[in-house]
Amino acid sequence: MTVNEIVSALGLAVVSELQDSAVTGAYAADLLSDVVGNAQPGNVLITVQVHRNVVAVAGLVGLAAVIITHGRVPDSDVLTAARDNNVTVLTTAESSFTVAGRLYALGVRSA
Amino acid sequence: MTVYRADLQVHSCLSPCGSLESSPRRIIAAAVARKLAMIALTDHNTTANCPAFAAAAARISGVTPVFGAEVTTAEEIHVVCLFAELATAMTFGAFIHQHLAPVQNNPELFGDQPIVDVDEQVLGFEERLLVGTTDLALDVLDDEVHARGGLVIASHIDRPINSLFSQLGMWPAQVTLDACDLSPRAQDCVWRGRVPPSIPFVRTSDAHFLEDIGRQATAFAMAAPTFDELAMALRGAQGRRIVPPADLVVATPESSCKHPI
Repeated sequence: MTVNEIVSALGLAVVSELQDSAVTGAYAADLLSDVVGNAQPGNVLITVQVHRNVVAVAGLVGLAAVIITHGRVPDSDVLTAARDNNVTVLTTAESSFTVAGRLYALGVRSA
Repeated sequence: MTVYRADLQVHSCLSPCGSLESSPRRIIAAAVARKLAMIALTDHNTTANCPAFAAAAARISGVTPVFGAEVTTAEEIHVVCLFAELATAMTFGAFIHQHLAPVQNNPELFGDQPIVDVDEQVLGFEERLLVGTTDLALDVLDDEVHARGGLVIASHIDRPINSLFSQLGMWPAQVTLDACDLSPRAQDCVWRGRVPPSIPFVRTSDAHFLEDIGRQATAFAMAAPTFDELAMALRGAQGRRIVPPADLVVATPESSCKHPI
C-alpha cells in the first residue's frame, strides 16, 4: 500500500505536497513523545496534534505521511514547514478511530 | 546583590486538585514561615483567587506576591504564566476563561473549586472544569503573556504528563519561554541537552498542599525581591542571576550528575 492509494481509498485532503511512498504500517497517537518512541519509519501517523512539531517528528521518524483527523487544520506555517521538509500532511473530518479502522480494513497494520 | 528564594508555582483551593486548606491567606503565611521572598499563585486556568492572595500579602511584610495561572495549552502542555500586577493578571484570567473548554466541573470527580476572600470566606464556586484545556496553542499563549509584560515558564518539563516534551516530543521552534521548570527528581544535566542554552531552569514546589510550599524553590541573586528583578535574573541581566543549588550548599557525591549526556 502506498500513500497515494490511502489518500484515494479514504478520500483524504492533501494539504501539503504529496510525496508518494510505500507505507509500512500505521501508528495512532497525539503525544509526540510517544510517536518518537514508538512509530516506525514508513508509518502513517493518525493524530489530532497540529503543533508544528508534528512535522519535525515526522522527519525524525521518517513517517510516510501524517493524517490529521477530526476536522483539525494545521496553521499555514505548519504546512509551509511540511513542504520545506517533504512531509506529506493529509486531513480528514473523520475521527482517529474511524481512520484507524478503515486503514486496518485495507490491510494496514502497526509495524 | 542578595539571594532571595522564590516559589513560582503554587495552587490554592480553587484548583480542583488543590487542598481545601490552601487558602490564599494560608499560602502567604506558609511562604513567610518558610522564608520565601517571593511566591506565585498559579491555579489551573484561573486567576480568581489572586485578589485574596494580594490582600493577604498586603497584610504581612516579608513576601512579594506574584500573580498568575498554570494554563493548559491546546497541545495540553502546562505553562506557568506570571504577572507583576494583580490587575494585569485578572485581565489575563478573563482572557483565559474565554478560551477554556466550556465543560462543567463535577465536584464528585474533581473536587470543589471555591473562590475565597482574604478571610477564607467562600465567595462562590467556579463551575467550569479548571483542569480542562484551552484552545490556545503554546506559541499563541507565549505571545499573549509577553504582550502583557508577563513571564512564561514551561511546567515540569521532565514529567510524562502535560509537559512540553511529553506533548511535543522535542523542543519547539519559535517559542520564547523565559524558563523551564523541573520536578524534584529531575537532574539539570539530563535536561540541559534537550533545552536551548538560553533557557534557564527553575525549581518550583507546584504545591497542592500547604506543607509542600517551598518544598523546592529557586534562589535568585537580585537587588530586591521584585518582579522586574526576577525577570532580569531569569535573563542573567546586569548581575542578576539564578543561584544554582551547588553554590548554596557544598556538593556531595550523591548530588552530582549520574546521567551526563
